[in-house]
Amino acid sequence: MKKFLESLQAVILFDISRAVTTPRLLVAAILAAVPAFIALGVRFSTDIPADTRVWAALLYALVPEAICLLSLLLWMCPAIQSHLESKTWVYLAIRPHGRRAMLLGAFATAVVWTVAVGVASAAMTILAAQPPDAFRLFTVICGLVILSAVGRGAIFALVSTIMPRRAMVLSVVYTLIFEFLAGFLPAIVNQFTVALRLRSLLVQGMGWKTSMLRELKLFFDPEPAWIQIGAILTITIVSLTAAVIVLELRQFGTPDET
Amino acid sequence: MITLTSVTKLYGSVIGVNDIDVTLEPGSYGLLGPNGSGKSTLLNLLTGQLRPTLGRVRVYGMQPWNNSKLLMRIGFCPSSDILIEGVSARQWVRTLVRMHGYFPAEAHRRADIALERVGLSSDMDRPMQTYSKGMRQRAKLAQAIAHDPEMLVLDEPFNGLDPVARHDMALVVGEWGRRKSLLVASHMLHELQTICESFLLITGGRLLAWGKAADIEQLLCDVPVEVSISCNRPTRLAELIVATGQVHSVRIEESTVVVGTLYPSLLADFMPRWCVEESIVIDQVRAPDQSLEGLFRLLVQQHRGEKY
Repeated sequence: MKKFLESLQAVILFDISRAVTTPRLLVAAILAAVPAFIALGVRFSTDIPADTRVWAALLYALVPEAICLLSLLLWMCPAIQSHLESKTWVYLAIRPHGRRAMLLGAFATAVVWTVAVGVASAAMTILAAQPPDAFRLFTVICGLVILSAVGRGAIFALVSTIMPRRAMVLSVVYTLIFEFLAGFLPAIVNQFTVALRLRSLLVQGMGWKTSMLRELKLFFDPEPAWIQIGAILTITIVSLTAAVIVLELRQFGTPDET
Repeated sequence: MITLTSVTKLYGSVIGVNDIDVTLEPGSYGLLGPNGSGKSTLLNLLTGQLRPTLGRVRVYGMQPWNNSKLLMRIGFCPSSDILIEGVSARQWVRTLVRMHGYFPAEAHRRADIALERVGLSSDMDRPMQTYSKGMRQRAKLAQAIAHDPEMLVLDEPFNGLDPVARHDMALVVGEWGRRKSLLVASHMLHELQTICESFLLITGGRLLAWGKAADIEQLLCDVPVEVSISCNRPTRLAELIVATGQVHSVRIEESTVVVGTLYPSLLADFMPRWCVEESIVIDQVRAPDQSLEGLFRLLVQQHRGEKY
């Protein structure tokens, strides 16, 4: 276990050190700033009421949903794909626990990166929007950013491991079909989406549960917060375990077989 | 050290290695074969990157697939180039050593020693994309030896190197081979002859022969060699050669008689007399080299069903 943790730590530090480049920091900064510009536009161009719910809905749609998903798509999928598809894979795979360390290291790096972008984005957007109850909104959105990054990062890790060559495309397809379409269906299928859990946590975190419209309850899960968080963690653990199993069982020879 | 029992690896319907049976004791081995002969497949089986379709692979008594304990004892340098941007050799090797479970300080020490051993100390902080091919090969070797494995497995370590870099690489690898076990795959025999004491010859996924250099050279005694003689009367010379009864095959290619025989020295005995008595003017006599390379070529021809 100690060796595995050393290995995992090495991969995380290596991936993070590779991430801190000017182009990548620039992309992250742009990504983080986009919701703030949108919030500014909304604030000054429309007669939006000074209602926390309006800003919370906007912030939720922009940060834990859009920005986190984009950041994960730009980070998680290429990271796994580049390890598996490029010629660097074998150098990691020939280390003890190298396969799982590579996967979990890439996952952890993507989560750290996405959370950093998401939190920065939430802070900038709240500063730009100046909504009522700003601190509470910020803490709730930050919590949702973390859960969004962890849950969806694990799902994207699984998708990338199963189909490394089409990782990005399949992850986008998954997001559109499951998170955005099935997640809004008032049916059993939405119970398995991260989106439903995040929306439910937003409602609970902002204290809207009692005042929510009855019809909208179809799109939220009334169960307590710990169940929502537990559901996301379960999705995360199942996805990562499946990804590790796929990786441990799959045979990746060196690209230049002779 | 290594035991392969009826090992076959199939990629769908394509054969990677075919029914290989061999036991290797600790030592330095050269795995020799043309491109596509199954060398990398064999090395991937030994390092646990692939599972055999049939048969059993054992390295130090353990099956290699997903075996973390075994990976601590093996250093592997794959043939694939390293294409990581923005990372120095020092940073890369340190990370890979840490993945063996070493704490940062120890991993850094080992990485620096390994980079020094391969002669990369002065350039180890430069990004690897600025390296020459030879420097990248040395960085690859450093990551393989940094955790001080019992056995070093190298896949085409000399690929793309200029003569000076080849010489330097041979010195480092040869020095390793004198202390610990070594398995080097290459399609260039002369590169292996200086650093390995034993050889495995593989082609078409099959192991043709193995043993020490002298053992393999002994095989030459049982394999006909081809001698090419260019002269002014090839038909008459061919008649005379056939009449000796000591040849395996004779064919004429324009003005050249190509003789397959187990006793090439006999030709040398007869030829002066034939030149005088039959007015045969010999322009050139070419015999195959008696090196391992010659033997390997013959074994490959034999394997492919080609005539001598």
